[in-house]
Amino acid sequence: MHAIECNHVTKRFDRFSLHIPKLCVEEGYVTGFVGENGAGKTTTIKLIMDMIFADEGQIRVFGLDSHTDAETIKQDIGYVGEKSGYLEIASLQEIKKMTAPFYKNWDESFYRKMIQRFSLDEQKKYAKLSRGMQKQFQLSLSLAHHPKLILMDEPTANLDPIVRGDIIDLLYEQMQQEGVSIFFSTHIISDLEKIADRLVFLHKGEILLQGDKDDIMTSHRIVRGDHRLLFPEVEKYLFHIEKSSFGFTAMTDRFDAVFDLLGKEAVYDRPTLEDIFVSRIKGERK
Amino acid sequence: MSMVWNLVHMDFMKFKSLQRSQFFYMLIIVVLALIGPDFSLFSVVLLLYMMTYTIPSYDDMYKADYLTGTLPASRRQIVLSKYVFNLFGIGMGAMLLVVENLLYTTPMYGSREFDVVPVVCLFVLMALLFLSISLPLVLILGATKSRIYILLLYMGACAGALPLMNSLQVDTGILESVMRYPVLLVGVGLVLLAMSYGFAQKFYQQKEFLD
Repeated sequence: MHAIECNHVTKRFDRFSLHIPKLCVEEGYVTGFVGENGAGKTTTIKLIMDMIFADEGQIRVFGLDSHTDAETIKQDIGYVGEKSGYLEIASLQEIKKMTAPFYKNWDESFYRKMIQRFSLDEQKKYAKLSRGMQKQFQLSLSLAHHPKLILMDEPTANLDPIVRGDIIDLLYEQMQQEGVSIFFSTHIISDLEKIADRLVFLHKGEILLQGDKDDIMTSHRIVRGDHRLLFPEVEKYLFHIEKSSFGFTAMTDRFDAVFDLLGKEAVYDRPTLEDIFVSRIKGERK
Repeated sequence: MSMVWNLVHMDFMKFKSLQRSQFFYMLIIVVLALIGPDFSLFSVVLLLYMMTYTIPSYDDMYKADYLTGTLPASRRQIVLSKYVFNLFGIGMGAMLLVVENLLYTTPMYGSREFDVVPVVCLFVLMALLFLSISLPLVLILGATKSRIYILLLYMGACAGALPLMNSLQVDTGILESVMRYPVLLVGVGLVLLAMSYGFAQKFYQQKEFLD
């Protein structure tokens, strides 16, 4: 069973539309949901959370319909968004008292551990915390009912690298210890290099690429070479080709095929996820 | 039902957390109440306003939809909880009204006579009417957007009521005779609230949390 399964989901707005023919988030893995600002990541997450409704298609979470079974599903979801929705002038203790009763599996001792781990003062008002501490508190609340699925919408945006690292470490621990599924939307791709098992690239409301992170990394290469190597048979495996007086640089997702054609005449570099993502957006396969 | 109580509890917790802004309102309520019977109803209406508007206003400011939208509570339960919370508000308002009117029976206020039932029933009718209009608007549009519509509605109602009263040559005697049937007044209010509830439920099911 998939943690999340989207089938032919369409959502239209006046100036934007999201179309997801097929999206599967595997149980027990971290799936990175990558896209530039405005690509449709938040829209997708809101659809999963039944905060907005799809015009077409169906979303299932642990086999249940995200709309008709929303109440049941949300017992098993820990949500961390860019906006928390908390009454920010309330203290952390008050916010906890407001939210904890909703969850059947609320684990007070786990929550206490989280509060201690991040050295959060429960008497402080939420608005008085730094951005990083606010996110740590949000994460503590979201994990304290032992969700089976953690949905995160840009959780590391505008955070310093140390706090980002703390959050990533905690997520990694959760996945190792409790086997939770994590769906992690971000435009900070370096965060995903550490923990993601699978990746989904979204661009202008369409899925550009999805698959196993290692497979994506293995199949992609930056190819550099002389102009004379750019014959049509090679070009069909290349995208985002940039030509200069020294030669060409391009990206391929068929490293094996390109290597068979060009061998050691070209130079091959391992790309970062960011290289792949940028090339996918900018480049058109010829 | 437990989710509805959790949501009502959440609103009471929010009400408690807003101490600083509430203190200002409470002060006005006490001052109005102490001035005398002429301002009694104002103080109670202010209490109702606090309960109906203050929390949704802060909810709008802090994008509370992002929290309620992720809690394991259905939209039906969210709407029901808002009505239940505001009915508590009416109850508190009625109690305040009783206390104020008991205060006015003391010699300090001229030992006025006080018949509790019609006064409370008239207040309950007004409060139910107020909630019937404002709650669906607040739930569907949010406090900020709905404020202007509610203001316009009340201005329209006031502007329309006076000429209507004049043209029909209705005198206050009708009001007095209506006050003889206090249960009927509350019944009318409850029917209005039930209609408002149905309307709010229908539209809140279709509401999308876009912002």
